[in-house]
Formats: sequence, C-alpha cells, structure tokens
Amino acid sequence: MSLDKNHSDDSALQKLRDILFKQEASRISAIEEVHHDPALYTEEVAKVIAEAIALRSKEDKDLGKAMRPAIEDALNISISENPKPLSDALFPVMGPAIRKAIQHAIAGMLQSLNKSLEYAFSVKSLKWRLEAARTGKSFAEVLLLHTLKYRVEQIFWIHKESGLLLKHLSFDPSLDEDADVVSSMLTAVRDFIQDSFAGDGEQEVQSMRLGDLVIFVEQAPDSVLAMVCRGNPPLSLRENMEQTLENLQQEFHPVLNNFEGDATLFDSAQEQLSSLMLVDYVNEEKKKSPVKLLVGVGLSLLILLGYWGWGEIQDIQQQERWHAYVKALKSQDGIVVTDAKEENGQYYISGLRDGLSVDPVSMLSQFQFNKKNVHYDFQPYHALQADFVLKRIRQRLSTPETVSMHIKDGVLYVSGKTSSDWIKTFHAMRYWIDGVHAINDKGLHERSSLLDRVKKITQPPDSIMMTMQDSKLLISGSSTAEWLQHARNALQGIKEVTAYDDKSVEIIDSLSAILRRANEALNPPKTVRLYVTKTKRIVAKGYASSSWITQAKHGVKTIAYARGFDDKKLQTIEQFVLQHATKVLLPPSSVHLTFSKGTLIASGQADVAWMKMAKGKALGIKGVEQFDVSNVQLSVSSWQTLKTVIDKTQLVSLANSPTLQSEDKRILQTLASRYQKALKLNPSSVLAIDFSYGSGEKLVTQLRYKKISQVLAKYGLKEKHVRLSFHGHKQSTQGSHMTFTLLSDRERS
Amino acid sequence: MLQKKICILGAAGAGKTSLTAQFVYSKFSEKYLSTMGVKIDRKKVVVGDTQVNLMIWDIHGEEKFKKITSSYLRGASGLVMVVDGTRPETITIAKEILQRVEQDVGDLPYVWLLNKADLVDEWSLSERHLNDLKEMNKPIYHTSAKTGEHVEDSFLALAEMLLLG
Repeated sequence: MSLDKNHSDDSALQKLRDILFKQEASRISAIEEVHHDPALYTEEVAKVIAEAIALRSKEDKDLGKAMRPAIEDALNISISENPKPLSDALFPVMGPAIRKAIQHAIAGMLQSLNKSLEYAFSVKSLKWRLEAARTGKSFAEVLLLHTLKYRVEQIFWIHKESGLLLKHLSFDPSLDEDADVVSSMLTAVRDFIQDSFAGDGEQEVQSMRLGDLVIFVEQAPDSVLAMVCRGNPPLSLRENMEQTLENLQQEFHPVLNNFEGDATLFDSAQEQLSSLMLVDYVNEEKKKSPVKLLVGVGLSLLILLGYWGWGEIQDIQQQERWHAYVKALKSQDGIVVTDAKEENGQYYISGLRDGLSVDPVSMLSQFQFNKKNVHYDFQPYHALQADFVLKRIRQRLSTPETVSMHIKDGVLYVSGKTSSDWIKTFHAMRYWIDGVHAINDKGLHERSSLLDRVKKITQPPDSIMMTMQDSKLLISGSSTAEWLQHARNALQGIKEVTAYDDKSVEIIDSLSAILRRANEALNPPKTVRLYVTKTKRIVAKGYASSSWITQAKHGVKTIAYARGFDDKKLQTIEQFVLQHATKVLLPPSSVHLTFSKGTLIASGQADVAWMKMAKGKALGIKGVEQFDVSNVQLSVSSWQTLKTVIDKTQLVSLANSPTLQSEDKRILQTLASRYQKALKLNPSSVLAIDFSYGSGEKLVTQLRYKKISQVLAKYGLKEKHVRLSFHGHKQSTQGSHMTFTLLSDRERS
Repeated sequence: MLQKKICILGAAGAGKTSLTAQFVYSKFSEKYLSTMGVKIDRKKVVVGDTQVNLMIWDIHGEEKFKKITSSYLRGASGLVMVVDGTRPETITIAKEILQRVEQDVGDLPYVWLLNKADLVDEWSLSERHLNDLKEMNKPIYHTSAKTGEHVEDSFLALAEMLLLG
C-alpha cells in the first residue's frame, strides 16, 4: 500500500513539474542535445571561438601557452606529411625574412671589415700596436679600448637571497666558467658594502666602478641584475636594464620565490637579457669610406706589383735621356763627340772640345743626370767657326767694347777707337790669329785717353807701368827717384787724375837698390860684406880670394848708379889667414910665418914648448890646411926651461941689513944672464921680483931693492924688464925674502 | 644542474679554509677572507644522476665576540660546521654560531666535521663533548685537510641531505 502511495506521489510531482517547467525542460534538453552531440556543439563553439580567443588573448598569455603544444604538433604533422602547403604559405614572409637576415649579417661583416681596414692601415693602429706591446695587452683589447664607446660585457641575473646564478650572458664564452662563483661573490660584495656602509637603511648598491669598467646593479624583490660594462654606457641602457628586470621579476616571480637551485627554469629569460648585450663604437670625426680604404689597399698592391715594372721603365727612360743628352752635346759648336757609352750605370763620353764651348756638365741637370755618374774624356781643340774665332780674340786680347769685330769671307774686320796700347798689342798678335786668312783694321783708330795724356806728360821709362782705375792712376815698376819726383810734380797739374798710387814703384838709384844689385852682380862670398856709402860708393869688407877681388873690381862698373869701389877693408884669404895665425900662435921674434895655398909655413928658431903649442893650434885656424915647420930650428935652451930655473931662485937677507953678500951678487949675476937668454927667446919676457918683509923691515927692504937693481942693471936689465911687488907682514921676521919669476908677455897682462 | 649555497662555519683556526683550499675550485684568494670576511669557492658533486654545484661560502672564523655577517648566511641551503679536535672550545663556539644561524635563517641541514684527524693523538675532546655532538643527530665526519680524509665524503653527504631531504 505504502509503495503504491509513493508511486502515485512521484507521478503527481512529475505532472506538476511538467506543468510548471515544460518549456524550460524542453530548452534544457535542446541544450543538452547540442552539448552531447559533437556536431551540434562544434557548430555552437564555432560561432564564438574567434571572439573568445581574441578576448582571452587580451587578458593574458595563457591561451598562447596552452595552444603552443597543439600548434607545434600541428605544424610538425603538417610539415612531415606535406611541407608544401606550409612552405607556400610561409613563402611571402620567408623571403623578406631571409633577405633581412642576410643583409644584417653582411652589414655586420662589412662593419667589422671596415673597422679592420680602418685600423689595419692607419697611423693610429701603429700607435695602438705600440701601446699593446708596451702594456702587454693584446692588440684587440687595445683596439676595443680606443674604439668602443661602451660595451656590455657580461650580465648576471642573480637570485637575490642565495646569490646563486640564474642566468649569465657574456661576450666572451670563456667567462662562463666562473660565472657562478662570480655571481656569489658579487652578492657577497654587495652584502658587504650594504652591511658595512649603509647600516640598517634601505640603500642599495647601484653601481661599482673599476677603471673603465662599471658594474650596474639593479635589484628587484627576488633577484638582482648585474651588468658589467666597459666604457661609458648611456643612461638609456640603465633604464632598459630596470625595465628588463621588472619584466623578469614579474614573469618569474613564482619560480623565484620557490627557487631550489635549478637555473634551467630561467632559460626563457635569455632573449630578454640578450637585448641588453649592447655595444656602441666611437663615431669617428670623419667617416672613412671603406671604398677609399679598399682603393688604398689596391693601390698598395699595385705599387708592390709594379715595383719591378717601374724599375724597367726608369731604365728605359734613363737611356732615352742619355741619348737626348748626347744629341744635345753633338749639336753644340765647339764640341765633337766621338764616342758615348754606358757601362754598369756609368756613362762615358769622349771627343774634342773647344775651351770656349758650353760646359757639358752644366747641361747634365737638364737631362736629370748626376755628374758623378758621367765621365768625360775631351781632347782640347780650336773650333774655327767665326763665333769661336771672335770669342777667342776678344778673350785673349781683352778687347775693349769700343772695338768691334766681325768675320766675313775669312777676313777679320776690326774697327773702333781704343788705346794705343791695345792697338800695339793687337798688331803684335795679329799673326797668331787663326781661323781667318786676312785682317782688315782700317777702321781701327787710336783714341787719346787720359792715360795717354799722363804718359805724354810724365814720360815714364820703359820700366814703369801705368794703368787707370777710374780717375786713379796706378804706377808700378821701377824708376829713378828723380823721375818719380818729376812724375809726382807733373800729376799735380793733371786735374782728371784725382789720385795716384806709386807705392809699388822701386827706386832703382836708392842705396838699398844699388846694394841689392851689387850683391846680385858681384855675388860676394860669405866672408865679404858689401855696403853702399851715401856717395853711392860700394864698400867691400872681409876677405876673399884674389880672383874674386879682381872680378869685383871689374864687375862693380856694371852696376847702375854705383859710383866706385872701395876695397881697403878687403883682404886676400892669404893675408887674412896669416894675420889670424899670428894672433893665435904668437910666434917668438925668432920665428917668421908665411901662408900660401893653404899651407902655413914657420921658419927661424923656436923652442920645443912653442913648437908643441903651434903644432896643436895651427890646423885649427880657419883656412890652414897644412902647417910646415921644416924650416924651424929648435933652440937649445928653451924659454920654459929658463923660467923653471929662474922661478926657483930666492934671496934671503939678514935682519936689518941691506948689504948684499957676495953669494947674493953671484946669484943675481946668474939670474940676469938667464933672463937675457929668455928675452931673446921671447921678447915679451919680464922678470918679476917679490919682496916679502916683516914689521919694521920696510926701509931696509927698499935699500936692499936699490942694491939689487944696481946689480941687475950692471948685467943689462932695464927697468921695463922688471916688475916689482912688495908684501909687508904685521909680525916681525928674520930679514926679508925675495922671490923671482919669469913671465911671458901674456902672463904679464 | 643544480646549485646550492652552503656555508662553512666554525671557530677561527678550526681549519675551514684548509679544508676548502685543497678540495674545491678557488677562483678567489684568501685575502677576501680577511678583508670581506668571506670567500666563495665551488665544489661539484654528483648525487645519483644529478650534478650539484655547491657554492661554498667560507665565512671568516668567528672569535668569541665577533659576529658573523648575517647577510652572508642568507639563502644558504646547508652548513658545514667545523670543529678543531685539538681545541674543545671550538665546539662551544660552533654551537653558538649554529644558534645564531637558526635565529637568522632558520633550521638548515648540516654536517659536523671534526677536523685535524691527522692529529688525533692530540685530540682533547672528552666523551661528553662527543656525546653532545652525537645528540644533535647530524652526520659527524673525522676529517683531515692534511690527508684529505673524509673531506669529499662530508661534502657529498651534505649534498645528499640537500637534495633528498
């Protein structure tokens, strides 16, 4: 029963539901039908799918991410099954894209090439290479340092809390190796700086600088971006960096927040970070065209390649110039080229050349030759062309301009007015002029010049030369003093002569001129000296050979303006030698000296001592070649022997007694006899007597002297033969002493 | 490849730098330790199929009253606590450091290194000291920078702890 009741309730409810929601139920069923029927549902979705995609794409990027696998799969399937439709579809965009990529690559390559060329061939590059060598850096480094405006060298994206590296980009792959430790260290450094210097504040490290390196640090809540730049990056780079970090922070915030050390989760950040890897070069003041540089390189190559060819061309040109030079020489009057050749870069030319022709060396520069390389062998000759003949005459005769000359049909015509001197010279030389067979000088007339007038007035002797230098008269040569004075007086009367110079005129009748001529004419030996007296008489002094004296007496007559010869002071050599020998040898009166033909001859009597002395000195006398003593008789007792004996003679008197003892008288007699002998041998002999006495003996001694004198006089001794001397002593002596000494004349003096 | 920041801590003279000097890649010289108080090295280990780069922050040994720069600890995944076996006081200092690290950055996995194992005869650690360490329930390695004993093992063990939990 209860079951039936329940059943009836359900059907009632159904009926009620049908009544109330019949329409809705039908709509729901229709929707369900659409939903469950794929075909119908697809139709419905198709109606809104485009709008739905557009709407969702605006909201976020999830749709793209969701569709990416499906699209990738679809593309893969499409390409693997039939690539054509897709390639056809992509063709319109692929072409431009490929072209763009190629253009970009080529542009980059060109830029690189330009830089390379620019710096490979510039002075700058040399400078930088030197800098590289000096600093030990590579050239590339130095190049970059100088050419970079800035360059982002590395980018570190770092997990803020742990310092672990999320992403690293570098221009140099070798730096990747250490990036993780550098990242940590950068974090430590940043922490260190902040902890040490910023205290508890919120300040953060924003940049660090080291030389031309700067490290920009941008911090986000979960990560830090550190960018290592070289050079001077623009502010915009910093702004880009901030923007990029913000984007990364936003995009990767959930991953960063739960970071467990897996950096691969951040690979997709590569693209964004790469956009920060910028580089900018310094703009050169003047952009150098790569074309110009290429042309420069090309030219350099051409120069190198053409070096050999240029040498050849130069050789050819030099040969041509040589031929031209030789040709030019041949065309010159007065030059005859017989041979011209070149050997090992040296040039040789030979032939004939008139001295008046053009100098071949002067023509070298015109043909670009160095005179060191050209060698001449020209024999002299006289060219007989009229020009040369005339030139030669004018040069040799110092032809004045007032005289004109020309040659016609082999005849030399001379005309004009000139000095008589020149006309005389011309007439004297006319027969020596070659190249003409006749001379016509009918037109040549003498011109009375100032010089002619001067000569006419002064009447100079032939030995005088006169020339005019403007209005100044120059006089040279030789004349008498009388003529010179006459000329000087005469010149005072010629007003046109404003000055004259006669300093070089030699006065031929002056004493010095006469002496000079006498010396020249007589040529006296050295032993004769000539001089001239005021009366112009020539005096000879000295000695000479008889023959020279004879010649001189004749020769003096030929000396102009000399008036007589005085030979009183002139000796013959014989006289001179004999005189000199007598002085030197002092022969005793018993000896006679003569001199003849170089031999000194002694004759007479002489003692041994004189002979010995004479023989020793005679040959030392100038002019004495031999000493002949064969005619000398040696005397028995010589003077010297007598002297020895006499000098030993002494007398001793008793004290206070003037009386001579008999013994004393005998001694004095012998003494006198010996002296007489000595006097014969040497007439200049003197007997010296010395009296020596003590105090109080003076008077006695004088008395004794008188006694002695009387004895000596008795034996022929005169006062002139005796020389006395007295020596008194202060102390008393026992009598007085007398000593005797024989002296020769010389000793006496 | 995974990266993990670990800090190597301990008293001054416990031998931290000697441990890292021979067995890790050092780009930076020790002068950073004395100037900045930290030097960062890298140790690559392989756990299973995974290569792990341990970024080792060798933090200047702490003297009693000298604080470790706490910012150096931020973001660390693990610690290496080094104790000098010949100086028991280094255990006390290490414990103090641990406490501070926990305060600053929370609990981190770590290993104990009882260093200077080559001088084990001179060790002066008492049983109490060793028991204290064991009670912390962390791996303890007797290491020697001189002989290399257990150094590699200790780093590998820490890496495993970091990866496997």
